[in-house]
Amino acid sequence: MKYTIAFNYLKLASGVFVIWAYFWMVHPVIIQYMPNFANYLDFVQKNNMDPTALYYNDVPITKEAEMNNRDAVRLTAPKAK
Amino acid sequence: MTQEIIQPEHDDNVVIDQAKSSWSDLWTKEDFLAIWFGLLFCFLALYLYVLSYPAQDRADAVEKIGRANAVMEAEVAMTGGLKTIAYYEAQASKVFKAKPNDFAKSFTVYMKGPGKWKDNPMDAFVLSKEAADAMSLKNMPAFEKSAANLAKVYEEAQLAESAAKMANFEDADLNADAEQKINTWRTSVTAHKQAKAKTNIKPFNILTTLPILFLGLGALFAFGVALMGEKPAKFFVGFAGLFVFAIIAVTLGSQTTMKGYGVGKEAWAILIGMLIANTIGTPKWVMPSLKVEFFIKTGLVLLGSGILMDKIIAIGIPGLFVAWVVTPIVLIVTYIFGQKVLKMPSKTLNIVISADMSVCGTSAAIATAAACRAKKEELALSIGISLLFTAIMMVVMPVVIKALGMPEVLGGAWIGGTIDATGAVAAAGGFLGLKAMYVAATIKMIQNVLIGVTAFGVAVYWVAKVDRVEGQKVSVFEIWHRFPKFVLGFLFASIIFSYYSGQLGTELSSALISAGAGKGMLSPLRGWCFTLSFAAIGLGTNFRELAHYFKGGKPVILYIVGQSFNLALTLLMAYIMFYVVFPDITASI
Repeated sequence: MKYTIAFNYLKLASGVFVIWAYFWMVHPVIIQYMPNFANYLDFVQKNNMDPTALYYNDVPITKEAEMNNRDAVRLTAPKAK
Repeated sequence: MTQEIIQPEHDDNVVIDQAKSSWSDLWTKEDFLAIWFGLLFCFLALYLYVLSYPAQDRADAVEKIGRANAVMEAEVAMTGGLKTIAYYEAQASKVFKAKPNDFAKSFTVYMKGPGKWKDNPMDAFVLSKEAADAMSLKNMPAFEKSAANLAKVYEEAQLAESAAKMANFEDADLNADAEQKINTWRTSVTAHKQAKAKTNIKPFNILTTLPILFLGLGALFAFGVALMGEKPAKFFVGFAGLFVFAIIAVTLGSQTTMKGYGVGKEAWAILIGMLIANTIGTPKWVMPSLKVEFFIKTGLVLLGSGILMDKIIAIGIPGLFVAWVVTPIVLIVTYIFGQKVLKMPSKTLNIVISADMSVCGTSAAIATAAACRAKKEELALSIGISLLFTAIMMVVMPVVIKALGMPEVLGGAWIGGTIDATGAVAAAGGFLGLKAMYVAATIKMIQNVLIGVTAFGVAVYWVAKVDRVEGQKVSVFEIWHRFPKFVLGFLFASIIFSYYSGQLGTELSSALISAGAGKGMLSPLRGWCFTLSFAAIGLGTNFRELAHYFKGGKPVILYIVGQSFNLALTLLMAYIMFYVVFPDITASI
């Protein structure tokens, strides 16, 4: 019984280690060989963006984008060709 | 002829339970309780941010908007389409701020979770005044540099605009040069605002507010649990464990690099939760608090307040076609492909992946899963697949678009219509350029609004078609009995907020509803409901069960085939609408 409990905690610790090693050790190394990903990451962090946001009202830039596009559409009186 | 439908056995594992209608359902069933709880906060937010907004301020705002619009119209009429510095300055003057009272401000403060951090997780919880001041001071040189840069690009934009004006805005090269320099100035304005904000960092300590948040959320849901006939004390004790786990997930998801990878709190909650559940096991005392459905349904009713129907025409007919015509086609075709060709063993998994991939990722997956009674494992699996492909697409798509030399508007529309997660769409669009970001974010916003229609359609289809015995008719009453009622609360919230949004107009709606009631109250509360539900999903998910759904890799094949079709159809539709049918709109963006 004690052996099983200890083994389960060992499994948990191993799982945490694998996740930590992947995200904090392996992934950054992989990205070093992918300049596009590195540039993208740099852009996201510099501009304080959150790619994990779920919904449009969690993304502040949407407000600005909506106003910009609405005004563009309104002022140019679009016509289908 | 006896009319019967299949009555599935009760299953605690599904995202939604089944209901038999009676009056007591109104106060004992979680669907209705989710509606009452969600609507309570919706109406509170509506009162605090919209209805109590001073009439004089509203009249002043309307007048100011009118003046700004007149300036913008005059500028466009003068230039023949080129948007000048005065145009953008007038547009910026239409941005208003909500005026919440002290209660609303306190509510926002107490809803705050762990913030961003880079190296030390404690930075997400506490920032002393000394540390905040030191950080502000450290950012001063960057702010001064951005101010100098802004002054320089502003002058360049003015010169370029004057040159174009000298030629009566008839010289295409001068116009293009002015447009490019004005856009550079606009980008610098945004960068300058961010630099300025970094020189005014405020101290915080959420360790003092989190216990209040725990008590508030715990008491609310424990009250609901008591009304459902379960033991609130046991729920409350378990909720302490669930809440702590949710905080850990939010903290991990707030790490700046993880955010950049697209691995947010939802992913951490599922990943770490599953690891705990499948190694040492979820503690028994936590189990009574794993009310996945209750949290999800309450969160979805709150989400309804953001389903504003007036948003769908934000970029005219082209946006409507890209977001509201392509998306349902992709959803239905992917679902049929899953059933007829892949022969997916689970219809619910099929529709959740199809909706997640075609509509807008996690939020659509949650709404669809709840509407069709999908299992927790199915929701977790579809979100996992979506997050993986989102992380790939948000990096690869801008690179491909740039390599192909695709115009920004087309690229933005393509990104907006195909990448699942809303935040990733804005980031990928921004990587291409300002124009692409605006188009991408707007298309995604229009697609977000489709969640309401999707959830309603799936709920009706499931109770009327999927859950009935073949060849037998289902009466309207049977449909009502089995209909997931929380969807009505979700739609009701959407209708109410859409009405007020329409009344206020775009600018005031953005200020009072999206940035006010939404950002100040309803979005954070919805965020906590979803985080708690994902934490509960993780802690209640069995690896073997998950592996069972993954058998043969069919879910991934379904996603890849559906997304490939989505990519092709969205690109085709965006090209036709923005470049063949409505080139005027494209030129004006």
